[in-house]
Amino acid sequence: MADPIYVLQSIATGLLLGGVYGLTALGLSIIFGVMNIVNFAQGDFMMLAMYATFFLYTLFGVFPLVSLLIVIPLFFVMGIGVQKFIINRVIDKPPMTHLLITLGLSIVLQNVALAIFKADPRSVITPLATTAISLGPLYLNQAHVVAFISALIMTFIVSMFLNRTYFGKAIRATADDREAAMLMGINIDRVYLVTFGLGIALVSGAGVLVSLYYPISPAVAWDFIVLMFVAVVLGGLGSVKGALVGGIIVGLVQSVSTIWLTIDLRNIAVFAAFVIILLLKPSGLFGVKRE
Amino acid sequence: MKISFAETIAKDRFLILVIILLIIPYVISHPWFLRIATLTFMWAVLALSWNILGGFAGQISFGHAAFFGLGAYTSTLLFLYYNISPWVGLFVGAGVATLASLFIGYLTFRLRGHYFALSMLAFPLILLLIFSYHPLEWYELRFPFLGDAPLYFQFASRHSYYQISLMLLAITVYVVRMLDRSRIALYWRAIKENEDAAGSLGVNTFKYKMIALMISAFIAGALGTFYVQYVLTLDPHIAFGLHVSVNAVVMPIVGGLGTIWGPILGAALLVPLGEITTALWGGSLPGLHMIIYGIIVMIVIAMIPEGLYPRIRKVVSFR
Amino acid sequence: MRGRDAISKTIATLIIAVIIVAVAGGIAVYYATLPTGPVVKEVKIGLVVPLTGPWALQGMYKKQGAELAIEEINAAGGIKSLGGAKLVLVVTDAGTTAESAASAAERLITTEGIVAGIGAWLSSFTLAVTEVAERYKVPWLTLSFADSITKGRGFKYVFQTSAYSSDMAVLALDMLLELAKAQGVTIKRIALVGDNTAAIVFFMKALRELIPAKGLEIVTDQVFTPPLADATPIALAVKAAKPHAVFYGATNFPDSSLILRKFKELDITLPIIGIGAWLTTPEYVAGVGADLMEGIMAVTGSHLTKGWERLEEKYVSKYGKPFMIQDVVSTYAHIWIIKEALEKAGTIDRTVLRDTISKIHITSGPATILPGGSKYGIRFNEEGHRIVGDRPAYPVIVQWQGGKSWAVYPLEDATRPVKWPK
Repeated sequence: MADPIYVLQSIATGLLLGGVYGLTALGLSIIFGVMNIVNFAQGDFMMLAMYATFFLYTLFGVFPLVSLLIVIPLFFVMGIGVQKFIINRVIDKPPMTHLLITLGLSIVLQNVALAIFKADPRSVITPLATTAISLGPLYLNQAHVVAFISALIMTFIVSMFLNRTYFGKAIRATADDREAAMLMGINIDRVYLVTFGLGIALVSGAGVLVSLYYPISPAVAWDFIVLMFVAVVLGGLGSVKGALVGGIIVGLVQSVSTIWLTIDLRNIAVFAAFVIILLLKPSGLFGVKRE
Repeated sequence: MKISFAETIAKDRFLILVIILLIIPYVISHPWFLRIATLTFMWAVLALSWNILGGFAGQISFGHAAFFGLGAYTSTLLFLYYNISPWVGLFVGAGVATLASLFIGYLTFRLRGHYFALSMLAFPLILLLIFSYHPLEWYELRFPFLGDAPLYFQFASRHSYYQISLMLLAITVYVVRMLDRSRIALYWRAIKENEDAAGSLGVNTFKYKMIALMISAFIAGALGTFYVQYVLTLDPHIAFGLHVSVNAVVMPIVGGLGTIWGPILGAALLVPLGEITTALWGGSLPGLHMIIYGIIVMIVIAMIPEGLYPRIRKVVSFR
Repeated sequence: MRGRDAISKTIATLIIAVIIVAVAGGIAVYYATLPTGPVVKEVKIGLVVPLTGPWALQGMYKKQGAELAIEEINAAGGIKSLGGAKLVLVVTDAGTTAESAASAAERLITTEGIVAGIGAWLSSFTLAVTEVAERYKVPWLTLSFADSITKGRGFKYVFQTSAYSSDMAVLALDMLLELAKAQGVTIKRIALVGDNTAAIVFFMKALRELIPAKGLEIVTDQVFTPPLADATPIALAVKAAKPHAVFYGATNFPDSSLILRKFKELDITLPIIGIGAWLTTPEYVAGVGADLMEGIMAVTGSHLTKGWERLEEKYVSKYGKPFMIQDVVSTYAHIWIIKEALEKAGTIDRTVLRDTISKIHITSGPATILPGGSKYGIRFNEEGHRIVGDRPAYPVIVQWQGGKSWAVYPLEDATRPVKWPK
């Protein structure tokens, strides 16, 4: 099993898959870092985006990559709405109240999807999912490659936004020190609206890409939520770069550990790596602030 | 001083409640009611145990299932492989959970806030994977049906389980109350308020956090055995599943973090709510009962963000 | 005058006599046609199945099967020995944990007064639910095939109609070897790929012993914990091991489809025999594509078999699903088994009903749709496991051909002949 090709393949797969994990974690990280909110419903927004992709594709023939242009803005607006009408009610309340709101929201979203779309799994069937690019002896799944590249692009765009635009800096300032930001005249309410909207928009983008190769069902969030959280915390709450790196680490560890561990135990390596990294860097790899 | 006065009143009230609860089954002995009540008592115990670490000492953890599950598995394996009564296994299991907490706390206490909370998540997940390892054959354990075998923790009547879990709840409440009045609680409060400040004042924050964790783990581990003996099946999801850790966190928050009645009220709301919504709508449009459940949870917490008990106290004291 | 009085008297006597006879006769007839036992208008049967969460689809299928049977039974007059009492289905969501499943069962038993129950698909839920049923002494039927549900359990009220996972392994392997021989193909190297849920673990465990016992070799043994996320390492290992056939099992649809898609991606074309209800469902075709599914075989507890095509037509027109699968078929059969037992018992007393099911031998009617039922009838052993002749219940092997799953083995139940996969 320690055959060099196998090792290389594991690294390659891990990298690609990790990019996707990172992409799903981006939005969560920003919401975490700026608003201090644990959004349990994050995976369920991804699920909704997956359904949107499916219906756009099967009813209107919109190819998933193209539907990114429709889904992302749509979900950005949805995120703003959710923040304004739901999350905002508990934003300054005793710690952890938002946990229940997002948990309740998660349950509602999942079951509304179940009621409307029924339990039948759907799949976006394109050749991407079942064709691989052969790079020498290595197989790189096309859907994974597309998702990975998109993850890099999105991370770059968001990074630019946060670092180069006024509003982006306002968001970072709020994450750093809310009181100071308020004193500087930054409209915190608006920051929160945009942040949450952005967080949901990012995870919806992830949903579009993931639906290229993963079957869609109302409960699909469960398959992703744990690794999403691990990637976010690992990389450091609030760090966009950290979410991507965290995701890649998760993907790599998961994949490479199969060299020594049987497959059913590989996530143990992920969780163990998670704990170890946190022990070495208690705020995550690129942790923006120390809680 | 005001606090202990309120607590004195609460003490009487809890005792009265226990007495009432003991009498009720003689009046209402419907098995389904007994089941909901029994489960409520058990989850309340879990919530109370979590609250020691999360509510008193302010360390929010998403990994409580680790202790619950270790307790459940220890006593079950001792019973199935060595025929040791779960009554004994109960304490062994609680002990194992406590030892585990020592290890876990040592690793994670340097983390703070969300990092601590989510790092704790890793442990039940690791345990879940280990216990699912198929050569161990622990992926699905079933108990022999003994009918009435009190020495082996199996009872013929639902009423007995009700009484036992009520007793467990009562014991837990008194333990928690004792802790709440002790000096340790003061240190916990200081740590909760501002850990760094407490540390700089000379409080050994690590030691006290560890004490909170260990007590919390012990109770959760003991509960694990009770629970498994009630449900009489065990698999890694029942023991270490996410829903256990989530319940442990959510019930105290709904009821009032850091109070004694809070976790109890939280359990008393959420457990029956789940059952009743399923009973009313669980057979109709799929998902409807869960939607209603989710909406009610969201409304309750949006309207009463501080928790049920603090709100009740506020309302009552204005009378 | 006397003559007329005499005639009036005679007529009067006759009339009175007729009235007495008529009344007596009427009373006699009335009592003769009274239903035996208490007058029962409806008989409630409980169905505890996942309607939310990852297995909601399975729950829906089971519900369909139950509804179909109940409609038929009620339309034909209900339970005759109970005075035409109608069957009423009480369905509830088993939820997403064993606790919620057991609570649902306990509620149906204690508040709805169900006479018998069915459920709860996932073997860990079924274990919890059957424990409740046994405690309350309510007859309970299940299609779960984990061995642990009745084997060596000592329960009296639980009836398991599917083959044990371990027995499924025996038949699957035998069938594979038989088919291969008929094709002139050698099978020596076998790959095992499965998740670590109970039903599949029992299956693979049995295979691990059987395969070497037959002088064959297991060239790779991959066990994974759901959810799989990515099937690349598994597929690579399978490809590298160069097996002649793959035995494969997954309880979750995403895992199942990820593996098949990955096989296609890496150009792995082998005979594949799977276990797990997903593998026979129409959703597979929608999700994975008919061409990918072509030739894949699956072992299942029951399926639409030869001779039952009319039933399938009825099902298809009612529910719009293209064909009938295990979850529908078995639950349909369960309702009919309960119906036959009720007819025979003539009472809704649950202990009597349990005894009746335990001793029953149904030789005709829709209940015999279960594998082996038409030939050997439906019977249970003392452990509550279904037996066929003197053997334990055996499964049906299904193969995908042209976008639909067909029963192919045992041969007498086959709706299509087996095609060796290319």
